[in-house]
Amino acid sequence: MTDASPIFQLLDVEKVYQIDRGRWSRLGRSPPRRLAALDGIRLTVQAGDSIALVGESGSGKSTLLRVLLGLTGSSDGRALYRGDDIETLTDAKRRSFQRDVAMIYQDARASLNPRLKALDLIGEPLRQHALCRAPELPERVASLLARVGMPADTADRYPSQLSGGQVRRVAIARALASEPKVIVADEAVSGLDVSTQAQLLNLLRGLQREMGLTLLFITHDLAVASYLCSRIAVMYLGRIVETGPTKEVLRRPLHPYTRALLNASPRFFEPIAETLPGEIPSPIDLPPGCRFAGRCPRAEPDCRAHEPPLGATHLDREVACLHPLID
Amino acid sequence: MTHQPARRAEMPGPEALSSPRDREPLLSLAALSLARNGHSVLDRVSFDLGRGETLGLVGESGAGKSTIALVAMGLLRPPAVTVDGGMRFAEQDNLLALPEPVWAALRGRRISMIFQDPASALDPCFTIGGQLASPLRRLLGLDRGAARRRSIELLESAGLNDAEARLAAFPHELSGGMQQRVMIAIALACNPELLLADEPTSALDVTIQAQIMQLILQQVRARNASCIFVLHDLALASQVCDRIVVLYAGQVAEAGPTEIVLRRSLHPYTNALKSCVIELDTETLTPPEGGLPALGAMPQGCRFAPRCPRATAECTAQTPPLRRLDGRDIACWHPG
Repeated sequence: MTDASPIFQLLDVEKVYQIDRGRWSRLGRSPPRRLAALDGIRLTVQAGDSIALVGESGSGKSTLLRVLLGLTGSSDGRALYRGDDIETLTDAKRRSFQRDVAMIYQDARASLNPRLKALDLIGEPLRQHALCRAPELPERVASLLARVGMPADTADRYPSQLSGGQVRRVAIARALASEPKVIVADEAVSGLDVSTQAQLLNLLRGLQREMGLTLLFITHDLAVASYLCSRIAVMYLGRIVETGPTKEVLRRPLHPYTRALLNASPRFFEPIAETLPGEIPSPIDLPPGCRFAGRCPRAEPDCRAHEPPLGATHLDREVACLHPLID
Repeated sequence: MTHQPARRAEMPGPEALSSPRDREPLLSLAALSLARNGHSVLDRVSFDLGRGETLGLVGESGAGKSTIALVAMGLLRPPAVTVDGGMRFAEQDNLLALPEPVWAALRGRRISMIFQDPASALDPCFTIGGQLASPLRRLLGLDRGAARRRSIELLESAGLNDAEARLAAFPHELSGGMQQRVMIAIALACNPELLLADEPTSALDVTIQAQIMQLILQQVRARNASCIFVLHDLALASQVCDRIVVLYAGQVAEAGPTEIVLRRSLHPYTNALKSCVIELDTETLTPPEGGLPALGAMPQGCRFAPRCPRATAECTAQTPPLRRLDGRDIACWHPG
C-alpha cells in the first residue's frame, strides 16, 4: 500500500547540467562541461520526520528541493513520493501531491503576488483545491491568519504594507491553506531580526507538533537546524556527506566538514575560530576523490584517489569520509 | 600609525571611556537626533569611539543602526533629513555642518565603509582594478603605475590570490566572499582612520563569514584604525567588538564595554535580545512579543515600554535619561 511507503525517497538522484562553452563548442572541438549539482543523493523522509538540509551555497540544497517538488527532473536515479515517481505522477496524483506538499520560499516577499491582498494570497490554495465554499472563504483565511499569529484585518493588506516578519507569516499561512502533510521550507527564517526569527521558529515548531507535519527545512544555521529538526543531512558540493539525528551529529560530528561548519558558527566571547581555507570549489569538472579534500585538514593521499561513499557507521548515522573523526 | 602593538593592553578602562579626558575619542556623538519627514529616526544618541577601538551597533531593524553609519559617512545629511546635536570626528567639530567639498576629501580617505551586499555595492560596469585605483588616484594622487602596484598589494593583503589577474575581472566573475574581500581592499585603500562595516558578512556563508571577520579585524588593527560594526548577531558582536551600543527605536538603550553589556546586561531590551539568540543547545526560545513601533507612532516615555516585562506607569510617562550605572550607560527606569 502506498501509504506505508516513505513520504519522499531519493534513490541515487543525480542532476547534471551541461555547460555550453559558447557557440564554438557546437563545432565539436571540446566536449560540453558537466556541472553535477546533485550526485548520488540517497535520502528517505518518513511521515512525521523533520529533516534539516545544511551546507554552504553551492552545495546543492536548493536543487535537491527543486527535484523533490518536481520542478526539475533528475538526470539519473529516481525521486519518489509515496512510492510514485514524482516526474511521472498521474494528473490525479499530481493534484494531491500539490495539495499535500507545500512550499515556503526563501524570499517570501518575492513569492507573493504584490497585487493581491493577503485574503486572496491565502485564499488562492483554498479555491484551487476547492477546500471551502466562497462565502466561507474570509472566515477560513481569518483562522489561518490567527494560526500564524496575525490579526484578522491583515487579510485586507497588500504584501507591501507588511513588515518582513509579517510577510513570512502570510507566506506560512498560504502554505498551510491547502492542509498539507509536508512543508518544505527554503531558508524560511534567514535574513530576519533575531527577535522575528525566534518568533517564527517557535511558530514553525508549534505548527509542526500540533499538525503532525513532515518538515524539510533548508538552512545554513546549525542552531536553527537543531531547534527545529530531529534529523540533519549535511551537504557539500552535491553530495550528502553526513546524516543522522541532529543532536548526535552536532554533538559528535564524524565528517571534518560538519565539524568545520560547527566551528565557524559564532559563539559568545570565544575568539573567531580558525576557519576552513578557501571556498567551496566550482562543481564543474570536479577532480576525482573526495570533494572536500582540497579544504580538509585531515586529507591524505587516498582521499584524492577514491571518492568515499556514504556509509552507515553506527546509531542510525551515515558518513562519507575515509578518515572520519572517531577518537 | 605611531602606536600599533599592544592595542588591547592599553585599552582604557570603562570609566575612561565615558569621560575620556586623557584620550580624545576619534568619533563622538553628542545627543544626535535625526528626523525624516517629521518622524524621529534617532533620538539623542550619544557615544564615543576611541582610536583603535571596535564598536558594535546592535538592535532590531529600524533601530537606527545603519542610519548612524550613513550619517557618519556623510551620505545622509540635511536637507534630506533634519538633524540636531553633534557629531565630532578627530579635529572636525561638527561633521553635520560640513559642506560637500570637505566631505569629498574625507569620505573614502579618512572615513570609509564596507556595505552589506558587495554584489550591489560594487559597480558592475567597471573592473576590480578600476574601482580600486579610483580612490588611490583621486584621493592619494597616485599615478597610474603606482596605483596599479598598490592595488595588487591591497588585493593580496585582502587574501585574493592571483591578484594581478583579478584586476581585469568584473565583479560578477567573483564569488560573494571574493567580492567582499575586494570591498574591504577598496575601503582600506587610503588607510582610513574610521571604518564603518554595515553587516559585512550577513550575505555570506558561515565559513566565509569567519574568514571575512578575521580579515577586517586584522586589517583594522594593523592600521590602528577604529571600526564601527553594524550587526544583528550578538554572538558575533561579542567576538569582534570592544564595545557595544544597544539601540532601540532610535535611542541608546545600553552602551559600554562588550563584557559588561552582554555578560551582565541590565537593560530589559538587551536581555530580550539575548533571549532571542539561538545556540546549538537551545531548547526553548522566549522572544519578546511584537516588534518596533512604527516611525510615525513612537510611544511616549520609554520606547521599549510597550514590549517590556518590567514596564510601569513611570516608564510610559517619562523618557528615561541615559545614565552611568555599574560600568555602562543605560536608559531605563527599572534596570536589572
